[in-house]
Amino acid sequence: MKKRQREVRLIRAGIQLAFFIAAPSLFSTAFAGIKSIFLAIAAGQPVEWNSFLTVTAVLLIFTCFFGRHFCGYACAFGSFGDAVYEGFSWIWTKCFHKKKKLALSEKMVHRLQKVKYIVLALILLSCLTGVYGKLTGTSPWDVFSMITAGRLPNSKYLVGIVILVLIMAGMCTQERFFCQFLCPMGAVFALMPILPGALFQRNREKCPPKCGLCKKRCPAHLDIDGDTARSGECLCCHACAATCPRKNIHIGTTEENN
Amino acid sequence: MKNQNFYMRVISLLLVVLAVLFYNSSMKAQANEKEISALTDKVDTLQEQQNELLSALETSYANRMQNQAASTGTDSSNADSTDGDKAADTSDGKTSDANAEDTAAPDSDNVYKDGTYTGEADGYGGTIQVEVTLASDEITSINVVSAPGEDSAYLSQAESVIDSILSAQSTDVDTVSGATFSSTGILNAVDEALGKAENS
Repeated sequence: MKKRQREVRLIRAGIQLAFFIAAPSLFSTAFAGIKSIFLAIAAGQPVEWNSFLTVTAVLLIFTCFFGRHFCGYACAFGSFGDAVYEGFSWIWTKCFHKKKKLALSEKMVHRLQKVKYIVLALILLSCLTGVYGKLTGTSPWDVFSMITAGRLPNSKYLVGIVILVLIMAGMCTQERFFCQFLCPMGAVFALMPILPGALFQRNREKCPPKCGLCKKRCPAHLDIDGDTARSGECLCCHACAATCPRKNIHIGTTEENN
Repeated sequence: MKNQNFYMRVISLLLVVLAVLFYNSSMKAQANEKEISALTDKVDTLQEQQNELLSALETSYANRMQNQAASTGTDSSNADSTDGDKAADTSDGKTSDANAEDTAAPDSDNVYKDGTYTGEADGYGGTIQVEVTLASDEITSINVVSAPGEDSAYLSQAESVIDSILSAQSTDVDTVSGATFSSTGILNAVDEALGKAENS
């Protein structure tokens, strides 16, 4: 059983690495499309189609039909978060052996997941009021994309650097810390209508009583059960499907296909 | 109901898209209205001018008819005066020709030499190379020759800075928000090209 989980994780890591090298700026390009709509409205101009919006539209339509696989497999910042989390967990087990790492409670995780909507609202509000133009240097994404492009950010980006370091500290404590709690693009993705056929479904009848392993392994601690109020939080990491000892979880169907 | 979250989200997404489309169409209608009022103003002033011209022509025609009626006997003197007018006309033409030659004189007084110059500067993830074409101190075209380190979506956004340079005929323009690094790179590269083109 452990072997299957490791296989799924390794395949995902490989795809993540490939996307990290090939397209490290997709996530910020997609969000730049959303911002461009609000900046146009703030300037009193009609919203015109631009190359950012093309990326945004492609990713949003893909998400509606296939779920948030972009978040799980292609987003460079998400991959970065995974690397920080896995790296920290590895160091932790080396140093403290079997001691359990401090983790956020399920309730806390669900509450913090709402924070990203506030982040999204604040950023878009700053675009509308024209404050956004004065915020250069505060975005941790700018700092991150400068580093991935092989440039060192200068002192103008101090605020962004500090925020990035804080986010990295958070990434150590909780898997997909940024994606779940802070990512404004994640907030947009989570609000998208994802076709029920692209969501993870569970054959509850076959589940042994009081198992809940899938919910425990899920980075977002979701109740996997098709279309729910929280199903937009699923990052499509496939950990639940790989963990389930009875192979009860599949995308789109409760039955086993193969 | 099954999948009620999905349907709710579809409805709200459609509402958002409709809101943006409605905003766009109302902005377009507003722009059209402005254009129409500007054009009607223009038409009004043109009509006024036309009326003035017509009335001026009419009065001058009436005057002439009167003059002709008064001086039917003295044809020869009339012909003389028209000859004189013609002479004045030709001399006028000559002076204007001379003027034209002055402005088309070699560009020794110009700030920039004519021709195409290349410039380079750092963009987001590498060097951006541009080609600037100058003709009698006017920037006629700017092309991005190579930008290997730029993301294509950002680059095409940043290229809108070229239009602002061309219309302002200066690199003292705002960078493109959302593509600051790339557009700053283009601006700096154009600056460098202009530096090469300067008459020393």
